[in-house]
Amino acid sequence: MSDEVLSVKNVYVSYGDFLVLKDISLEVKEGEIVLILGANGAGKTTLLKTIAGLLRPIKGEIRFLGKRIDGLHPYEIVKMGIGYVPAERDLFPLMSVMENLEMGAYIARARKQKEERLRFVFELFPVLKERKDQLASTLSGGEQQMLAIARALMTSPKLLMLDEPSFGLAPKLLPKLFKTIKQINLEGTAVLIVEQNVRQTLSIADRVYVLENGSIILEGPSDRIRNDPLVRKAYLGI
Amino acid sequence: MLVIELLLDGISFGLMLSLLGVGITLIFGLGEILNLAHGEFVVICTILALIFMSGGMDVFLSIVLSLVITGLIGVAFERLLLFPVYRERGEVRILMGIFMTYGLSLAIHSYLVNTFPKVHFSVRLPYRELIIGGLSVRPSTLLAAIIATSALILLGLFLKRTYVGKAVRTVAQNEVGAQLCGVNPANLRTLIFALGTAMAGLAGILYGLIATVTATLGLDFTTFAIIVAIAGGVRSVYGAIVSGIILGIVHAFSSFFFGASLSLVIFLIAVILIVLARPEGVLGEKS
Repeated sequence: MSDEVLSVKNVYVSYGDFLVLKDISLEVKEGEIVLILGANGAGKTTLLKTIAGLLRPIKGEIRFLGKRIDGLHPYEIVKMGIGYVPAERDLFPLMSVMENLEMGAYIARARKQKEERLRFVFELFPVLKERKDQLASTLSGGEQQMLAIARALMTSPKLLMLDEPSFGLAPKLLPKLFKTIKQINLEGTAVLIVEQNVRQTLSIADRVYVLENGSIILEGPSDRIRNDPLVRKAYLGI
Repeated sequence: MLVIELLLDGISFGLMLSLLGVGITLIFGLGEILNLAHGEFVVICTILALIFMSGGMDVFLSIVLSLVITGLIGVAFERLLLFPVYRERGEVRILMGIFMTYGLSLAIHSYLVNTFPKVHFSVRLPYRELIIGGLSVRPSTLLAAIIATSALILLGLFLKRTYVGKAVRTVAQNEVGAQLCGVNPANLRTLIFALGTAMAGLAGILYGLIATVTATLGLDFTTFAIIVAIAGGVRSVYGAIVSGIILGIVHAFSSFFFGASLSLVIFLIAVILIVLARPEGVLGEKS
């Protein structure tokens, strides 16, 4: 139990009367990369938003490092150590790349490690260093994605949640992206990732949950999931 | 010579308008509240200053104290009356904000007009006109311009250089993004309400240097503040500053050449032209 970073237990989330997530339970252990698979509208983004505090579950509990976080505000959850990169990226368009990164280090804990974290993210994404004085809105899609990940890393998260990080990226950038995610993970950050790019994500993920119509229908280590007939048919097209 | 003198008057009045417009812009940018009570804080501050001064308090101290209290009244109002508005989103929030602040504006207005019907606030400096190279400059005009400029520069430094100021900008640019960086938008909204209402108060004090503030003027100040903010692009602080200065100059020239009543018409035509030519605000920034 002690190596559990995140645990979601019997969580229900609704938009108005419409139940989007039903009885979701999942966990992320220390050092893991966990992948959530599912078709559009299965509830993947809703799940990440709920963990990040942007949505509130109507039932169930969410614990992070043993403490309950459901019901907390997003900014409190960031302080506890969850970094979230939403699919919309939610950057600050009229601020420079550097200012975006500095704001990632807004919370007290992260501010102390700012210089060290900056060096780390510039090592991961050298292009951000080149563009540090440019406004975020002038970056290309791929660069904006890197900035969004880098900004979340500036918060010194113990768990990083990524929503479709490959979306809108040129295919030739993808191997580098997944290598970087693996590298972040090896530096000691657990990763919870939602991805359409199943094949490449499976190659770095430790465990997988498959979400369908708001419920988890399958879970297991990625080797087993990769060979599951349902996954092969629905997500790998084999 | 006349042209330059009018220009100076216009800039001085314009900087005061900038102080008003910036408050509206910041408050709207952070919480989507169009503060229709903004001008009442101008009047509240000047009446407070008058009360302190008539009690024998030092002029400078009275002004500082009234600015602080005006900001605190702003905070009380924001925390007590606006929190149900923040629970709503989109159009509903904007409409509720308008009702709430308009209602407050009417309440404050009638209270002030009834309680202080004869109050006139103006600050007279013990200096005579300065003649600089053939130009006659009123020291009060100059002082108002200097104080307003300093206040705006300080605000700019706060927003540009400090962590909290940058956090204010993040909430205005992307509230979800701000929260994901650990920023609590509610606290910053309150801070900005305090700052915005105190700046409105400062505008009132400075208006007292170049003219006279009476209890009835709240609604006029609100109108000016909103016009300046709209011409500035509603979400751009620098836009509000520039638009305040431009409109101040327009106001000075038009009231000199066409008289007070026609000057308002010309003023509004200038605003319409700005909005038509630059729908995104004088500086044309995209937000």
